[in-house]
Amino acid sequence: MPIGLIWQTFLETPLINFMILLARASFSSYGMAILLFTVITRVATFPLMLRTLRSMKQMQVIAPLLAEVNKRYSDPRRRSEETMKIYKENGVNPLGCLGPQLIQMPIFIALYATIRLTMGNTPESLLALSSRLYDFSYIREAVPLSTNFLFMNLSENGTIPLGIAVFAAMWLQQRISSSRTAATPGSQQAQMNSTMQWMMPIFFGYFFVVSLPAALGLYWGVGTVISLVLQWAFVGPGDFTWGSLIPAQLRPAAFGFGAGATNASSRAALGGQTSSGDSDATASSGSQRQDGRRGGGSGAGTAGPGSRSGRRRRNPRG
Amino acid sequence: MTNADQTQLNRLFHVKQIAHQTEPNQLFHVKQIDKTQSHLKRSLMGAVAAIALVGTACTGNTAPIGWAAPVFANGLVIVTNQNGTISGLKTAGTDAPTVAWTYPEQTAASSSGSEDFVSRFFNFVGGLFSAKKSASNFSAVYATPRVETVGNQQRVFLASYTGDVIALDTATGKPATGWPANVNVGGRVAATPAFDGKLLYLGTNHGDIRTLDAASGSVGGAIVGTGARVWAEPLLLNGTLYISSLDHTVRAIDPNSKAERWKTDVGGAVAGNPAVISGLMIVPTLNSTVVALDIASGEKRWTMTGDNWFWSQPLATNDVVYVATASGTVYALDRATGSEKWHSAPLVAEVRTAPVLQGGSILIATRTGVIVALDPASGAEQWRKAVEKAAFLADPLVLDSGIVYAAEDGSLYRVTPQDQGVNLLYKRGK
Repeated sequence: MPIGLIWQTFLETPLINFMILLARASFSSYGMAILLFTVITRVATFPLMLRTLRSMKQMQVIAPLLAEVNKRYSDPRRRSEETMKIYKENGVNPLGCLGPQLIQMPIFIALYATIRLTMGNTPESLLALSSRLYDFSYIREAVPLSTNFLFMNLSENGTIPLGIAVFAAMWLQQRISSSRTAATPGSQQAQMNSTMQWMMPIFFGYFFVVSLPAALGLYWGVGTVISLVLQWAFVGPGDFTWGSLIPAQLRPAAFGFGAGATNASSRAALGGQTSSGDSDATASSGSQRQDGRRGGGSGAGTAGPGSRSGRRRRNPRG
Repeated sequence: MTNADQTQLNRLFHVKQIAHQTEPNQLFHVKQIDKTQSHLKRSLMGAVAAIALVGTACTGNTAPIGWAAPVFANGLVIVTNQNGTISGLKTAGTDAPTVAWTYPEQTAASSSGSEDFVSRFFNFVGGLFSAKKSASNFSAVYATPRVETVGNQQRVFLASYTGDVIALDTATGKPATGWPANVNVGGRVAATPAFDGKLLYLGTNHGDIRTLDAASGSVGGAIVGTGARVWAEPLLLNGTLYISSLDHTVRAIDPNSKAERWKTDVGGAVAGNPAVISGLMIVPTLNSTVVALDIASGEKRWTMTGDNWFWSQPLATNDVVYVATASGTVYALDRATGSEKWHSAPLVAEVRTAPVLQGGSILIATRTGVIVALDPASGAEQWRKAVEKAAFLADPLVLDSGIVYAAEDGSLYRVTPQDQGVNLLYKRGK
């Protein structure tokens, strides 16, 4: 059986029918069907997601150790040895987060084909749908589906606001994720994190949203938000604070808003010292302090700034 | 010892050598690197598999292609080409046609496709960043061109999926007198327009019907909004405009006052053109039903259920209605009651073309390139011919010399039921 036929028979066609079923069940709204589908796929892949989140959390725990290794060993080979040793001792798989991403890919691709057909954007695609529907009148009668949802035409290319929303969600997710790595500021890893933080959201925001049907962007955007919420709930926001979105010079300290306020509460809980500072600089020192091995003046070389709240808020959950 | 064993032994030996020469933690390093490489390999394999899946799933055309039927006017068969041009073909009996005109006239460079590599590369890259894939506004045309006489000039009106409309002089293939350079009705057009002698009525994907002055090309306002795409041909009969749309309804509208005379829910989306005979409107629906409406009141006279969607236009005779489902099953129905007289075996291929009755056969063509002749009395298959790499979606053109089918790949085929002939008539420009 050729791969195309296998793909169609076992993934694409069932998904087409399932999506139409969902759409009919959700008041003939294809947008609602996509939202439901996103939630269902996230629930189905939750065990994998949980594994990833635990891996991320573990990475966060060992981040100070990795930073120490980076600082202590200049020989790349020795540094690699020690890094691997830390990974092994803590049972961390640095590539553990790839699983859920790879599992999502076929779903995403099948969904793309499904949307192309079920939206019936062109007469040819709607006609092709006739041979892909199961012989249930409940499904057959639902076609064609309404393409309007939240001021969008789901069959047309994604709108700029949707692209911006997806960009923002992905940026935030990248920002939270990258704050857990033990990258030394200025290092190759830190530069890569910085590049990924911007390039990934731009890539997805444009190619997957603005240049493809809005339905796909809706799926991706909602999926990202769900992941973000799960990550925030299970692992915490890392060194991210909403206040850090505002440039340091513009932060209204008088309102107690932003990094300073969050830090203050965290530090109060820890009995730590207070200070304001650049959010990126606080990242490494915060994690170092949590580890308890190092003083405030080590790591990134930034002395003084306090830890972020996220890590300590996570502790009670274990 | 097999090669694999040898490889394994060499590898072990290599590791042992390292272990002998180095400290324990360096051995650990080797093992860890081995493990990491394994992870990387698996990740890479996953990535390659994902890319393969992308390739598999993303193949297929998302851009509209079009299925405009050829029309006959002024002794010419007028066809739309996939490169966005329109040609008038002079046919003489059964001989191969000659091109009388092509609009727009092609330059030597554009017709030969002699772009250099750099231009093609930049066109390709530009295409990746451009939502608009069509090379021409008339690359995708679904609406059957409409031939009408305006003043003393016979014109062919073509409405493309982009919403652009052009009127050409059928004699010369040049834009009709007084027709503006760019006319667009502001929505995608897939339905053949109706004509009242002065105005064209075009259904759009916005669900409205826009009027267009056939003489000047000026676009009027929307006369009705259905809220769903209009893909079926609006019919203008005795001063009433009948509009079928994907919102499951058929409406009768007074085009002058815009008043609604009646509106009937037929239970399914209407994508195919209805047929009208003896006061009945026979409506094919995507609810797998054919519904007959009283054209005066909109009341349902009968409903018949088939084995799949009905998209092709029914063929109505005095006594019998022939209609094909998207699965290729042809039904013969009693015109007055809708009761089934017979149905053929399904062709198991998508069918959108209207059935044709000629030479003692009902002819039907499929998207897979099969042309089948059925006995009109019993539905028994008389003969079938398969045309390789042809997809028939456009309604056929019935001429004295035979039935002309336009294939999706740009070819015209002439079918003569009398001698079961299926011959390539013309290879359209791509």
